[in-house]
Amino acid sequence: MAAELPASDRKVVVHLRATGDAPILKQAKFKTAGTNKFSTVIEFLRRQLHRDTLFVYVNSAFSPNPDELMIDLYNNFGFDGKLVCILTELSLLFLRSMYCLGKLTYTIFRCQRNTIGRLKHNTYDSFHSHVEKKKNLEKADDYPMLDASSSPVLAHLVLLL
Amino acid sequence: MELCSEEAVRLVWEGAIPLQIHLHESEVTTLPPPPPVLILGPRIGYLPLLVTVIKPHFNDTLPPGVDSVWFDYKGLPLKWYIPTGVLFDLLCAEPERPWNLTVHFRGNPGEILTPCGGEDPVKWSFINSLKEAAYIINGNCKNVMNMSQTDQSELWQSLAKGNMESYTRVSSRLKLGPYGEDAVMRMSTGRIPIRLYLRILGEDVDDLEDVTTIDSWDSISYINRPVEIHNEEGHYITFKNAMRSLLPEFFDDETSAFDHVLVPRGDYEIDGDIENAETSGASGLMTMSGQKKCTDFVSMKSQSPKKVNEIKLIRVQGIEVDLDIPFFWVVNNLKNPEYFLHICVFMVPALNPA
Repeated sequence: MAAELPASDRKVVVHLRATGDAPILKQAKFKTAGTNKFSTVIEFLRRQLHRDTLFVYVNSAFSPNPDELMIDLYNNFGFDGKLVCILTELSLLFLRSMYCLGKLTYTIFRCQRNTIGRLKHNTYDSFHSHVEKKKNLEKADDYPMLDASSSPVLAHLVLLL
Repeated sequence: MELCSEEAVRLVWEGAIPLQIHLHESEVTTLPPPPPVLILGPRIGYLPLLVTVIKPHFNDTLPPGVDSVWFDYKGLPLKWYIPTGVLFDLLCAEPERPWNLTVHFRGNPGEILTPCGGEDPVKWSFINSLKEAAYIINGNCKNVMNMSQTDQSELWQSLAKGNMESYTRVSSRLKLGPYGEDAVMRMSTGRIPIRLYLRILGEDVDDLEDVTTIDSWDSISYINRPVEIHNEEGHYITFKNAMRSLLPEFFDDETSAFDHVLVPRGDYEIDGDIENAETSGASGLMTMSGQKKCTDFVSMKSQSPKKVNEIKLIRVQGIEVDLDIPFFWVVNNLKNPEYFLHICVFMVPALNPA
């Protein structure tokens, strides 16, 4: 404990990954002071990308509240010396209103969570049409295990939910 | 000692703060101005959830425009994603009952406060916190992610409506506790999610009523730091041990021997009963009799020359928690429904830096 630097002196490396419609950043990694709040990162990105709405998730898992300190987030959720943040313009709420998160998406989530690294970005339209197609299956209570190639975008987005 | 007490959890769930809510004068368009609303705000609830009850009272007097509801306490905009009970513990050093809040239906101070558009943002903030807690406990949030839509909405509804039974039923499937000596072994990370709020009181005030009000959130440090548990056979961790691991800088190095003085299992009993002040009608606070002031702990720290501040008071769910209580008891029973334990710590400048 004593050997550790005080929180104020520590920097946190943030690794950003864009998804959905969010623009891909030229610079994916940047450093920020550990004493900064999560909201400073969001504000910074909003200014950089000129977007009003932007959703930032940590580890594809959750969106911390804006008051949380970067150093705390790093200590709790960082690994390999950095904090991985996912950037999207589609909110969780919007996605949910497009398609209610049912068993189908969970199935995809389970079979695809390991392949996230290889997935490509795609347009939102293809996500939507894919969802429309699968809705019938949902009603029929028949949930196929989808393979990674069949719905890259859907899988990618579902990981954020 | 039992580390889980259904009674204590029930008291936390039933705990509520009597609120007296005024409409901000800039939004009063009628004469005479509308009387304030008196309402009980559940401790574990969030302020925006009260809007459906408050709005009808002020509906007739509001100026035209679109609602964006927010609250302030003596000019300080209240963060809606902090549970009501925590706001109260933190901002009212000396509990004020009823708690006088001002409601605004216009002009959200966007610089300070992210606008809250209704119940949904509160729900997502809750679910996000829950995921965050699950991540700290298990190293992932699979349990929460894999929850069915029905369960998720039932979990939220039970919180919004204060239905503890239905909450317990759904949340038990998340397998995020309760903690006990053996349960620690099962946790993959041995970490317990904590949200800490540090408030520095201006000077050492003997009477908490003299404490100056906060005019900016900058004077409160918000720390999100888990307690790491390294299981030691036959011992348990007291609340003091946990606080020391969270805020080592406020505990003397010389006294670090304390870390090793763990209380042997079974020797400690919480004396007295837990009594619910609610039943006496006066307040929504839970008090625990047999409380011990943390004077020894404060005087001990003022010896250190390097320290600027010292801890005056630690408050969880409105209770000044006895520092010798087993930490697992505190977590199991006093945590909020999103599995975070919210701890308010009041600091005062050290009296006598030698």
